[in-house]
Amino acid sequence: MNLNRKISRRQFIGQANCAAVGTASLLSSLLSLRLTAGAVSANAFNDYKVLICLFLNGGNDSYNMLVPRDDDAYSEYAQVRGGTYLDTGGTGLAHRKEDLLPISSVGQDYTDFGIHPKLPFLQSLYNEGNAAFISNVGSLIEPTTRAQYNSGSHSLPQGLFSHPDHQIHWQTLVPQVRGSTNKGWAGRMAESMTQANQSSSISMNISLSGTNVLQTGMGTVPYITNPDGAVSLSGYTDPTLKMAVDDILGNHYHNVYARTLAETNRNAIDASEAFKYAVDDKVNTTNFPDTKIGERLSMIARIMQARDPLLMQRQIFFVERGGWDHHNEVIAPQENLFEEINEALQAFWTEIGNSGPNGDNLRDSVVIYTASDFGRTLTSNGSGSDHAWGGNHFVINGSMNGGKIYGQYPVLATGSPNDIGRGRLLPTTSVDAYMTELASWFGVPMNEMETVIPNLENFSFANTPYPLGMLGV
Amino acid sequence: MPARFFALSLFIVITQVNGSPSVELENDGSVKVVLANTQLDIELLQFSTDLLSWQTIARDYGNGWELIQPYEWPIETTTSSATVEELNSVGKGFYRTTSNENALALSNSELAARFLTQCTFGPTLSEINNFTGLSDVDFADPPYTAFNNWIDAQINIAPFYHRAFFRKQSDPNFVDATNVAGRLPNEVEYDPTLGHRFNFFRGNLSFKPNWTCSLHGHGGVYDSNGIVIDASDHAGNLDSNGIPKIGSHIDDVNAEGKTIWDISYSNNDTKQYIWYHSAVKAEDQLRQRIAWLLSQYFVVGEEGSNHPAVTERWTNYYDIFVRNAFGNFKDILYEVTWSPHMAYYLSYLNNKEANASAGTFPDENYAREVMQLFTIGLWELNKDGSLKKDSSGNPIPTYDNSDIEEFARVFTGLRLAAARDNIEIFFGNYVDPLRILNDWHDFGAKTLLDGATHGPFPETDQGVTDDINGLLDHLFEHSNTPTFFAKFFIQRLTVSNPSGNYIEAVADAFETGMYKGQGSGEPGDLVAVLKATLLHPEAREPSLQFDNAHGKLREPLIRLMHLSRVLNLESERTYEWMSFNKLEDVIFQAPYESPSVFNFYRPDYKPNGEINDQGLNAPEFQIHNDVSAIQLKNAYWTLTHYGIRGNQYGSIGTKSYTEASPSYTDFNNYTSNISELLGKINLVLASGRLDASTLNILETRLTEMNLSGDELIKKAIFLVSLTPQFNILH
Repeated sequence: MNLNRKISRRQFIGQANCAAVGTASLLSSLLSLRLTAGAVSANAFNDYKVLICLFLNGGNDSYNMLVPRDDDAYSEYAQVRGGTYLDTGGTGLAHRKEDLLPISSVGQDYTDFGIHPKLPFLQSLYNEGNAAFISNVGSLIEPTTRAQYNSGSHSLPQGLFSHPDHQIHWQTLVPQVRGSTNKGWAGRMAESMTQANQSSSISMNISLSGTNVLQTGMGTVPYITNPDGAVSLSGYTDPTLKMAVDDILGNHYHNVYARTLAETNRNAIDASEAFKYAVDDKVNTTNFPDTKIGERLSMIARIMQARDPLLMQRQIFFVERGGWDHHNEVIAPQENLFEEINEALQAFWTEIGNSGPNGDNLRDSVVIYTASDFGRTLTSNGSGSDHAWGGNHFVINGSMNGGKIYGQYPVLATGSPNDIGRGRLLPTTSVDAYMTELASWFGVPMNEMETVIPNLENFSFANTPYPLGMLGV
Repeated sequence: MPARFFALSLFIVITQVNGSPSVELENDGSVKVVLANTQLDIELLQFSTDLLSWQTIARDYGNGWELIQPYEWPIETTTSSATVEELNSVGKGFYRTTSNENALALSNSELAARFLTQCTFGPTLSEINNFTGLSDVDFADPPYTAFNNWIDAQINIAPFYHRAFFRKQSDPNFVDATNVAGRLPNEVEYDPTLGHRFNFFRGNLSFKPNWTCSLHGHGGVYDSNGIVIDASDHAGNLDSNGIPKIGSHIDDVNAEGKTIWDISYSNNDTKQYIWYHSAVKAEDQLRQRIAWLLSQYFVVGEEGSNHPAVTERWTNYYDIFVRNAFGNFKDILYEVTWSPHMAYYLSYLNNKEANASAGTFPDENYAREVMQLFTIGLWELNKDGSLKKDSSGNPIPTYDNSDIEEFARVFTGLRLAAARDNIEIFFGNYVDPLRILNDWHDFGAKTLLDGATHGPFPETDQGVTDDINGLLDHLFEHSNTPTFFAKFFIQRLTVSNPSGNYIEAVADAFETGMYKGQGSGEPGDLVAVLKATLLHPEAREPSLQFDNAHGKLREPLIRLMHLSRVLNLESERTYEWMSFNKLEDVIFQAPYESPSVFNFYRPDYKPNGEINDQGLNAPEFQIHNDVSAIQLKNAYWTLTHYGIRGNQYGSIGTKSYTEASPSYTDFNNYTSNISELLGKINLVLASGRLDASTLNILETRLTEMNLSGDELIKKAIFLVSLTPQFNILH
C-alpha cells in the first residue's frame, strides 16, 4: 500500500491550487469581502487552555529517562546498554539501578520503573498524578510491525533516522513527505479553531524559540517573542522617528500592493505594541532559573497572566532546547539538560499555581508535553548512542490521569520484537495517537481531527478522541 | 487620476460620455461594456461599488483590450471596439476608464534605476549615472535600445562562479582543471593570496572508475557536456602520514589583523556567505539575478537535503544556473535531472525498478515534481496563461497519478559517480553527474502524456540515457512548458499579474528562441525569454503606474541586498565574504534555505484582504507577516546604521561587532540640503517613484530630527527603506 498518493498533495497542495485556479468570480470576492481560513465551527470557548511544546532538539536518549527497575527487565536494560557507565569506565550507557528515582505504573508487563536521577520534580509530579509518560513513541504512517518493516510492504517515513526529517515529521505529522510543505499541526489546528481568540490581534501560536514548522499554518505563522519580550521596531521609541513611520504607513497609496504593504506593516507594529503593552507589566512571583528553558517558561508564565488583555482563550507555546545529539557522550550532558528541565518545571509549576495578582491556579489549564527527533540506539557506540526511532516522552497537567506509563514500554533486550537492529526500536505508539490526545484536550472535535492529524484514518483509533486515555476518555 | 468616464449602473442608470465605454443593461439583467480601441498608451476599465476603491477589470496596453485574470467573461473584439459581456455578477456599481494622460514623468536616470531594480540585486548611484544612453532622446521608447544594449553588455561579463570562489579559498590540494579540455570552467585551484581557507571535506578515493566509457553518466566522471574528466590530472589525496584525508579540514588561518575567533563560523553557512558576496559585489549582476531566479524554480533546499556543510556540491549545483543563465532551458533541465544533489533531494538516487516479489515500486517523487514544478504544471494552459477548459467548463489536469507511476519507472537506475580526489567528498561524490546502474533501470515501454509509446529501450547504459532524456524532451516540448515557465520568470522580475499578452510574448520567445529579432532561434533560449520579459512594454512603460494592480512586492532578500549595495557594504575580512547570518529566520528568505521544493512562496499566493478580493496573485506576501515585517525593517536599521552585525533588535550577523561596514560617501555631498539628499536616495532606492506627499513627510520629519552628516544620511536611508515605493516595484 502506498499512502503517499492518498494523503499529501491531494489534501493540501492540490486543494490549494484548485481553489486558486478555479474561477474566482468578482461576485464572490465582492460579497465575501475577506476570505478566512475556515468557517467558524462552534461557539467561542469560555475556558482557557494552554499547550506547551518542549522540543528536545537532537534526539533525547529517552531510554535513560524512563528505565525499568523490575529485576529481569533492568538486567536486559543494563546488558543492551553495554553495562553501567560507572562500572565500565564510560563505554556502557546504563544507569545504576540504585540511582534511579522509583515510580510504578499499571498497564505494563511489570510495575517498577525508575526516572532519571536528575528529574526529582518530575518524579513528584508523577507520584501526585500530575505527570505521565508515553513509551516508545515515534513517527509512523500506519501501524507497522518489524516483519512489515523488513519486507518493505508498508510505507515508512521519509529520511528515517535523519535529524531534519524526523524533526519535521513530528511537526507536520505527514512523514510520507519530506520538508514542511504540509505545515505544522499546531498551525493547522489554530487555523481550524476559528472560534478561539476571535478578537485577538496576536496569533494563537507563540514561539519562544523563533520560527518553526510546528506552529506555521497555511496562512499563519507563530508570533515570535524573545524571552525578554516581543520584537519591536527599531527606533520606534524615538518620538520623531515614530511620527515619521506613522506618517509613511498612514499615507494613501494608489498601488494595491503598496497599500496592502502599508496596512500590514501598520498591523504588525500595532500587534507588537499591543503585545508589549499587555505583557510588559506582568511579573512573576517565583524566581526562575537563569537558563534557556527557565527564562522561556518564565516568559510563558507572564504571557499567561496577560491572557485577558490579549483576548486569548487558547494558546500554544513552542520552546526548543538543543544539545541532545549525544553521539560522543550521553551521561554527563544529559544530566545537565535534565537538571535544567527539572528546575525550570518546578519554578513554572509553582508560578502557575499562584498566577498573577489574584493568585489563579492555572495548573489544570496547561499541558506541557515533550517532543524530540527520535529515540537513540540502545546499544553504545563506545561512548554515546546514535540515531534511532521510538522514544519516551512525558506530559504534565493538573487534572490528567497521571501517574501512569501509557503506550507499551518495550522489551529492551537485543533482538526483542521491536528491535530493528542495534537497539533501534520500531515505535509501538505513533506520534499521531499522542497528538490526537493533545488536540482533543485542546478542543478539536473529531469531525475536524483529520485536518490536524492527516494520517488519522490509517490508525485504529481513528474515531477515538483520547486514544491513550491520558487527558480524557 | 484622470477619469474620462463614469457610468452608474446601479441596475438602471447608464451614462455615456465620448462614446467609450458604453455600458448597456441587457434584458436578463446582465451588463455589457463596449470599449472603443485605445487612443493612448494605456487604458483601463475599472469598477467600483463606492467610488473610492477601484479594481481593474480590463486593460489595453496598446495591444487591444483584454480582461485581467482571473476574470473570464467572453470578450469580443472587432477592429474598432471590444465588448465585455455577461458582467451580471458585477453589474451593480460604477465603471470608468482611466488613461495615462497625466502620467508622472520619470527621468531617464529614474527609468534606468527602475530597470536595474527589476533585473539586478539593486542599482547603486554610480551604476545609474554610468548607464549608457541616458541622453538618448528615445531612451524611454520602444525598442528600448539602451536597455537592450545593457543586457548584451552584461551577457559578455565573465561569470562569477560560486564553486570557483569556494575552491580558490579552500583546499590547497584542489588542482586547477580550468584549462583541461572538457572540464567545467569553475574547477580552479586554491589561491593563497586570498588569505583564508573555507572549511572543506577531503574524501578517500576508494576505487577507480571506468574512465574509458564514453557514455554520459556511466562509469567515469563527466562534465556537463558528457566529456570524460581525466582522473590522473590531480594531486594525491594522502596526508603527511600517507593516510587518505577524510573529513573536515581547515588550517593555516591567516586573516589579516584578526584572531582565530574572528573566523569561527558555522560550516553550514559557507555557501550562503559566498552567495551574499556574489549578490553584493559581483559584476555580472544580471547573470547572478537570473541564476537566483532559476534556483527558485529548480529548488534544492537545506531542509530535506543532507550535509549542508559540504559546500562544493551546493555551489556546483548553483553554478548550473550561473553557467546557463543566458543559455538554454533544456540544458538546465538535463543538468538538474542528472545532478546527484537533486537526486538526493527528490529521492530518485538509487531508485530501482519495481520488484513484484518484494512488493516495492519506484519512488514517484521526481516523476511528479519534474512535471508539477519544473516543466508543465498542474493544468492545461493556453499560450497566454489562461486555463484551457473542457466541454463542461472545468480546467483540465495535465497528468494524473497513472502518468506519475509510469514516469517513476523512467527515473530508475541512477547512482552516485565514483569518488575522485580533487573535489570535496563527504559520503560520496555529489558533484559529478549521476552514474548509471542499468540493473536497476526499468527498460520497458512507457506511455507518454499524449498517448504515444516511449521505448522499450535496449538494456544498455545508452538505453537508460535515451529513456530519461527522451522523457525530458517530451516534457520540454509540451505546449504548457513555455507558458508555465514564462509566468514564473515574469513574476520573479517585473510584475505579479502579467497580462495575457505579456505572458504570450515571453512564451513565444521561449518557443521560438527569438524576441524581436534577438536570440539564438533555439527553443528554450533564455536570452530571448529574458529580453521578452524585460523589453516588453508592460515592463517598461512608466504610464502603467495608473494600473493599481501593476507591479509586485519585491523579494525581501533582494531588498536587503539592494540596501547593501547602495551602502557599498565592505567585508571587514580579508577573505571578502558577506556573513549575513540565518536570514531565513529573520526575513524568511535566504539562499539554499527554501523550506521545501515549493520555494518560499507559491506563484498564486493571495494574501487576505484587498489583493485576494481582487483575485490577484502576490507571491512574496506569503513570507510577509507580523514577524518578518518587523524583523526586515530592523534588518534595514542594523544594516543602515552598522552594517552586518548581531544585535538585540535587528540581528543579521553572528557577532556583536561589525563584520561588514556600510559607507555613506555616495551621499556626503548632499547633507546640507535635505531635499537634494532625499532626491538621491529616492533615485537609488525607489527609482524616483516617491510621490510628493511621501517626499513631504520625509522632508518634514527629517528636518525636525535636526541631524547632520552621516547621522542624517542613516535616518534618511532608513526612512526611505520603510516606504512602499522602495519595497514595491511598479
